[in-house]
Amino acid sequence: MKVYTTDRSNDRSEPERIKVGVADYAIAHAGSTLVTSGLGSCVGIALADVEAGVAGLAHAMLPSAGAETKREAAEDDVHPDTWKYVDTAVPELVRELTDDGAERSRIEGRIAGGSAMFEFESSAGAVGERNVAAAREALGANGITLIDSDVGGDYGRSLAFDAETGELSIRRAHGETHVI
Amino acid sequence: MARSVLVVDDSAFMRNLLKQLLEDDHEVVGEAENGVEAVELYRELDPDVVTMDVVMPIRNGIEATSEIKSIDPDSSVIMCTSVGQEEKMREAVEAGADGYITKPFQKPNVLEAIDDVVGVEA
Amino acid sequence: MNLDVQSLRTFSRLAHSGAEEAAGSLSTLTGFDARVAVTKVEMATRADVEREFRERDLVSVHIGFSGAIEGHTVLAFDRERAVSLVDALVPGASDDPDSDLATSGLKELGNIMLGGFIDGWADFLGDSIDITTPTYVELDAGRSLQDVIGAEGVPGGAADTDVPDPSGTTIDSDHVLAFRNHLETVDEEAGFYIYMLPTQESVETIVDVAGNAEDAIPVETFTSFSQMISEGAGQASEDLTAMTGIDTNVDVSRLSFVPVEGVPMELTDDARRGVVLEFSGTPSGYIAILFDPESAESVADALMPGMESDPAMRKSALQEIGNIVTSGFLDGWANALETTIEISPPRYVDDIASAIVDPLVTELARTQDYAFLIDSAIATPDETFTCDIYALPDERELRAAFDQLAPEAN
Repeated sequence: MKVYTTDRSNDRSEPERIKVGVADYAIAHAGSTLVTSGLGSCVGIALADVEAGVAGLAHAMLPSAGAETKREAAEDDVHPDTWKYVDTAVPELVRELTDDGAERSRIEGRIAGGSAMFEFESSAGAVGERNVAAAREALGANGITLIDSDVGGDYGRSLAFDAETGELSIRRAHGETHVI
Repeated sequence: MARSVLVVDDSAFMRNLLKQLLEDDHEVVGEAENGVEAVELYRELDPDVVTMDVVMPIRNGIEATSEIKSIDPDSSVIMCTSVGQEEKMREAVEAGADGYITKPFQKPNVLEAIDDVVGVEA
Repeated sequence: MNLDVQSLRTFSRLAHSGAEEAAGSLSTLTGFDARVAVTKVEMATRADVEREFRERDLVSVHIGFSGAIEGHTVLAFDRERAVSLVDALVPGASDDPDSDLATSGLKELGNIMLGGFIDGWADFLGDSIDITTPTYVELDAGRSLQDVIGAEGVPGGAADTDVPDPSGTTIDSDHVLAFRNHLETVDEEAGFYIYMLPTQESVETIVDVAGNAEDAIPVETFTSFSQMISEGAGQASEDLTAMTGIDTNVDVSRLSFVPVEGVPMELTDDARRGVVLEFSGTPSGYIAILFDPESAESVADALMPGMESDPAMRKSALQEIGNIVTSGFLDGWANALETTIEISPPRYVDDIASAIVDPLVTELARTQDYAFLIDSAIATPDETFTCDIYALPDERELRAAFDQLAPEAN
């Protein structure tokens, strides 16, 4: 008996707005915008090859899996935490883009987020700052040019990333939207 | 070539959807809302293919399939269900189902399944 | 019955992949681009879920299941959404939304989405789960979820065993966990909810397969902790009323288990004002007390009636409210746990809601993949203001606190 299941990958054309959750990522093509909300200490990594018309946005929480307390291993086959950590998210995002026609040398990188909104007594400190440092390092290690960033401060950010132009719009709760 | 199809589903919406989807290529000769009606209509209409929902009131699709297969071992029954559990698929195989389509399906799935189970030629 | 964190993770994972399956079906059938926003395992009773339906004016499709596990699943969406769904499923039928074809379309949508939701659980258990035919339910007509579920029953299962207590409330002994999945569409935040309410016995079945018995906490502990949270929220509500002179009620008070990254996604992209505090003891953790901008103004006005107040004064008033609400919320915990919980000075925030919670969650994410989220909402009946409370205790310390609540478990 043969089982016929719906192939959802080519269901519809790509939506205009694609939401990226926390510890998550998405790829989009010219004509679509990737959005993610509520970056506090988290960092948004936006990569685009404008010529190929493909872009990707990752929303990472922590600098590196290795640097944090070793947690109980996840039981899933595919490691679900790839997008939680900057150091694993960046190479994976680059791979996704190059698989989709991007040229590594043409990919432009932009980063935003990594703020220090609160200082907690219990904290090892400055996760935001370490996220930004990890993102810079990972982009460098993967041969991606970082062309601009909007990081630090003590406020949250929401992002909209235009896959066609590679422009990253950064919105705050108060104040002007900043485009890099 | 066009086949005669008996559509079995308790949902009027789903029967409608299947009819629309099949109308260009095949002919829906009958509709049943449960397994009992399905068996009765099968005897009456002797369709080329039956699309069979699984979860239905009165009599479910697995039981109806077994009975249709015992009446006519050469019948062609394609399960068409929202249940995609491996165990349920095994039950369908035991009942003699020829194909298994999971909902939501797309037109090419259904047409392909019909061609596969009854053949493209007459 | 005992529950352990490993089982909760398994539950969360199965529910999340089931919800993704359902979201895919929704997109295929209707063209709405849906994705799973949050999957929560709530330590809730059926009565809690029912209250949520009623308050939000949700229409729903129900399916019962039995076999390897037993219980109910519900697909719920708001009334307006139902109309657009019917339009997408059966073009033209929304002119007469009560027609058989319109409800048949919604029922079949529920059937397909919920059927897909259940599949993964069956495959995980290596057994089959039978589902009933769908029932379309509107809860506005004075019908309770219990009427519906009671009437439909579980396929081949036992009748419900709810025991009414003399006070007139229902002790829902049959369901202790609810799996709540929020599916959102790109165009709007309001979306679809999939609930799964397994019977207590079914929860045990899965715990037996997935769980770590040494780590297990009696389920009654979760119930007493939920009770403690409700009491804390009640105290916070009383304190708010005393401060502002405006009557308030506890609208929501929940304990749930969520993947850490799911917590910020519970909040919107809108601006919120309030305070963030750190608490330490058994347990330690973080708490955020948030008001929407209008509520923040109303609260400040209520605290300083007729006074000309500058922004700094209003900010200070909100900070004080945060302090008092936090104390009201946590003092009861400290008493019940026979410990002290220290509270840090409140830090004022005025920012994007999800970004406010993000650094708190990130701190927890360093040591845990899943979090116990406590969320409460205190509101005035006339909607003068709403106050949302989010508390995020450290998972391991909370487990220690659970042991304190149920010493007989050790």
